[in-house]
Amino acid sequence: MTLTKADLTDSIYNRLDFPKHKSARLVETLLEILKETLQNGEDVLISGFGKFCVKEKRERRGRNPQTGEDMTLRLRRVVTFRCSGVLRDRINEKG
Amino acid sequence: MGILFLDTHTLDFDVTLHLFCLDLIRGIQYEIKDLRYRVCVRSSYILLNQGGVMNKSQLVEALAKTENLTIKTAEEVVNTVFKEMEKELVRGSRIEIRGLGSFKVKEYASYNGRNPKTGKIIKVQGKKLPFFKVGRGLKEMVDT
Repeated sequence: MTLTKADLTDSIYNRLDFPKHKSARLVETLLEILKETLQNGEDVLISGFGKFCVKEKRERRGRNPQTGEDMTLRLRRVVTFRCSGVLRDRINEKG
Repeated sequence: MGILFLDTHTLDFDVTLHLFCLDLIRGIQYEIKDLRYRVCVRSSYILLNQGGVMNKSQLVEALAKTENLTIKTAEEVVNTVFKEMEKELVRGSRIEIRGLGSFKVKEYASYNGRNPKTGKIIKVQGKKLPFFKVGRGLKEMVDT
């Protein structure tokens, strides 16, 4: 089973005393803040979970692996995720 | 251009911030003297940020301000969301959040590695790590 936004909404609804539509809005707002922050080029650190980082990638020459064609990958910004040590240990059943 | 004196340790920090926001709305520009701070103006709130990293308590604060919640409630919302995601990853299943991205736990097999200092061969245990794939919405938002 895949966890989706609907499941997050349900968990807010069950844990806190908010109606469904409000729970859904809170999840939406939270994600919006997260995204806007990353858009501004800031990292977001959630202790115990991980860090969403914005990385600047330099321009480089690459190749389309399907066609073998040479191409230039332009300067770009990407989002990466670094898992926290606590979460990694939990996933590996050490915590 | 105005000059803003910021001291996060004083009680009237919130008042200063409030006046500052009013000025921004009026269009008065500020020069940030203390370079440890960056002012981030967003649609619904303004945040003074240190070093370009938002941490969980700042995320909680931003959520509280945007949605008119108490810090405690906002904190519970944030914690619930990330706890729920954590539980799912510990279980080994996927997370898919539209517009943000998806998480998947990848298994890495054990391999023989070397201690770079001594050159000794050591067995590196297999491990599981969460892998995040950026969603299209966020990818386009960030890369402009």
